[in-house]
Amino acid sequence: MNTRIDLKSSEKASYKLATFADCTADLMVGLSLLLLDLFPLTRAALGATCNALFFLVVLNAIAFVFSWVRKKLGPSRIGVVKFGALVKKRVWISGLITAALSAGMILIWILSSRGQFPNTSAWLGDYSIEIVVSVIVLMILVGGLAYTFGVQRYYLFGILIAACFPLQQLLPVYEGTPFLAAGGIITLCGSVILAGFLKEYPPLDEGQEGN
Amino acid sequence: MNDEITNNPLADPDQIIHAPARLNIMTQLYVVESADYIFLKNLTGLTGGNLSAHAAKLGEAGYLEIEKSIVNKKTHTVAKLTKAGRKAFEAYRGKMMEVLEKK
Repeated sequence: MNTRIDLKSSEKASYKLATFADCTADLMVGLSLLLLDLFPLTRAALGATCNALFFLVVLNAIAFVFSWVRKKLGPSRIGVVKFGALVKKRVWISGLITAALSAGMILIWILSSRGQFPNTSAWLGDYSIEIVVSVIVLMILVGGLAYTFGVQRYYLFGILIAACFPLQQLLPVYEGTPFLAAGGIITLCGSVILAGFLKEYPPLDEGQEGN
Repeated sequence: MNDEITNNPLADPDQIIHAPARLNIMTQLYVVESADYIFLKNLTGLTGGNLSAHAAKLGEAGYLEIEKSIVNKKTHTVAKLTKAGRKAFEAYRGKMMEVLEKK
């Protein structure tokens, strides 16, 4: 039994249990990356705009399905918790930072595709600016999540996701292959952790004892 | 000598909070707004019976607000620290830190 009066650790442990223990987020990211593996193929078939819309709809559908799964899994296994105003504020600020960084990244991709950064080769070598920015932004976002909540596996996920973009340029294979590999590894990790979670946290009534 | 005992913060700790299991419950609830018994059991490692007994004691002292409801024909209990509970926990924590951080 943990009896330390360490409020930061307690808060972190509560948030980690409520948010990351069921690893539905891992599976959602893994499956999204597996789907992104098909991006170059569907772009050739649908055209750039329709393809972007198609992925927007499908990725949102995946997010919706996983939030539904989380609602079904969580309450009977890990219980229900409501966080205070301070935690809600921190989550809101983190969401804003994530949205701002993601929007900046997308903007750079759009500007780059329109030839707005023609003279970056002197300091970026063979890499285009959008690749470098994407790697930095994704490492900051996923690494920040891993550091803040002490979820060690997210460091690996951050490296895998960020590495997809330079590998796409470096490897002489189909463009989607790095996403397939990263998505496969993350989905596999998520599935193993989910199996452990289902075993460790059986559905409980209040009077029942866990394992 | 008597003055030394009176000034010692350990001389009179809040006995309701001082028990390890109840301190654990108070600590977990202090950092959230409310939590149900299943979540508290997972976080504290207490058994259902232990949790109920200690939570009841904290409730009697006015530190805990316990709300019971029926969800899907099962009892669902949510616990929340009262203002008095938060104040008592802060006072207890302050006392303990004063003792432990004294050189």
